[in-house]
Amino acid sequence: MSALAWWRVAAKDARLELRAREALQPILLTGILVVVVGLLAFHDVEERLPVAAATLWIGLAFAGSLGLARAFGAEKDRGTIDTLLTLPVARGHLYVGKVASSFLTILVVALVLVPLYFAVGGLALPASWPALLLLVALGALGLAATGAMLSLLAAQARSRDALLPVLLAPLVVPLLLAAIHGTMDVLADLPFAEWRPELLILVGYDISFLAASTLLFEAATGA
Amino acid sequence: MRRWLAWMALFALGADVFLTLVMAPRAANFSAPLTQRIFYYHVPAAWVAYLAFGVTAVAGLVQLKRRDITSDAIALASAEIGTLFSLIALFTGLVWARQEFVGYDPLRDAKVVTLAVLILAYLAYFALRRAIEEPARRRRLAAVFGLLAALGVPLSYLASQASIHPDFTRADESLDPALARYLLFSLGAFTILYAALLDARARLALLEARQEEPWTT
Amino acid sequence: MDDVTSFVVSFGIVALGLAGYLARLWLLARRLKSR
Repeated sequence: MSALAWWRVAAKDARLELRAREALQPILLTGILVVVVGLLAFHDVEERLPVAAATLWIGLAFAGSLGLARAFGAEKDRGTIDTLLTLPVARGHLYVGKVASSFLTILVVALVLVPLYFAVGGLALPASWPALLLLVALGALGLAATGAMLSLLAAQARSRDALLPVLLAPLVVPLLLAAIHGTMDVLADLPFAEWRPELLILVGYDISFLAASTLLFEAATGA
Repeated sequence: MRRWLAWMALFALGADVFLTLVMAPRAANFSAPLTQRIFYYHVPAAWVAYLAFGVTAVAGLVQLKRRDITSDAIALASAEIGTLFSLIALFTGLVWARQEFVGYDPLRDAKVVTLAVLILAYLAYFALRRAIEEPARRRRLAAVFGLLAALGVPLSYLASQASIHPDFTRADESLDPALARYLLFSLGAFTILYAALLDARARLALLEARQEEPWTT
Repeated sequence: MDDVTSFVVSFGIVALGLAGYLARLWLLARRLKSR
């Protein structure tokens, strides 16, 4: 029942998101802009990989936080958040549903951005591209997990659009550090031992923040 | 603050200054021996910064269980003091490292990165508090954020350790054991100082909270 | 920066930081108690 419940919330969100395709557009656009500006600005830099890795993740983080601000902001505006909270579903499931839909959004953006680097960014597709996919997925999950939680907090405060990045920035540093460096190593086709620490940190980050947020979700909502 | 605590802090700090500036022997193998003495303040300051952060997080935990105003007052006070000491730690650390090591790059020092994240976390904490007007909600959400941030800071240290090459983090480990006892005393003195400041600031925070909601006990 | 200057600067950071905070506490106390 519980797994089905959060699947339902996630599916509802995903459906709404895809239906409101205009909402996905600014998010995609932001990501693309960051990548393009990055590639242009650093066009003469020899070291392609650090620039690529950094702009990719900064683009994902920006695009992600745009999507997240909407995740709870939109529902509070629509007044449906109270209705959702009265559902006979534990609030933790509500959180997991939000994470799932945010994760999917960021993943969609990543699936657009990553090929960009290979198409126009002058990067060669590495042999270990599945590893790249793995890192992107783990990083996206972390962004979604932390972001969904913090956007819930921000949604209950004033100036929530300005507040979310402020709250997100310190908490997302470990994720970005690990993701960017791991991505750099994978793009360079370095052996697994090189980026294993980064992978472990990403996994640890995801587990920690998912667990903590699920536990704290009840406290963060309600009276 | 409590009188005895204030006097104790004053005495501890005074003794500390005397001991570390006058009595402590010159550090061998350091290219900047006088500046090295700031070590006795930089390390304890960083210690207090992290201690204060821990206290804020734990106070947040208590807040979520008890929903009282005292734990929140302690959380807020500790956050403020922690911010002060992290700034002190960061800047003294930078001055010392630049003086001591040729080609020091603060961005390649995991401890600098972690302190910076800590400061950002504190600032975010205050921004969140300022953005919520309703007191009960403010206390609750601040506690939640404090706990999440408490997760993020150690992870930041690990992440920056993993990804920084070469690493300046071990730069200041070379302390002569004979000098270690001065550092230890300094740590103790700063902890007492922290306790005194916490007491003072928490009382004021409590006063403010009661003025905001006179009906609370 | 020579050794002495950097020492003074770093010690100054500590001293000013603490003094500044104590001043803040004192001002805050004054404001709250006069209400």
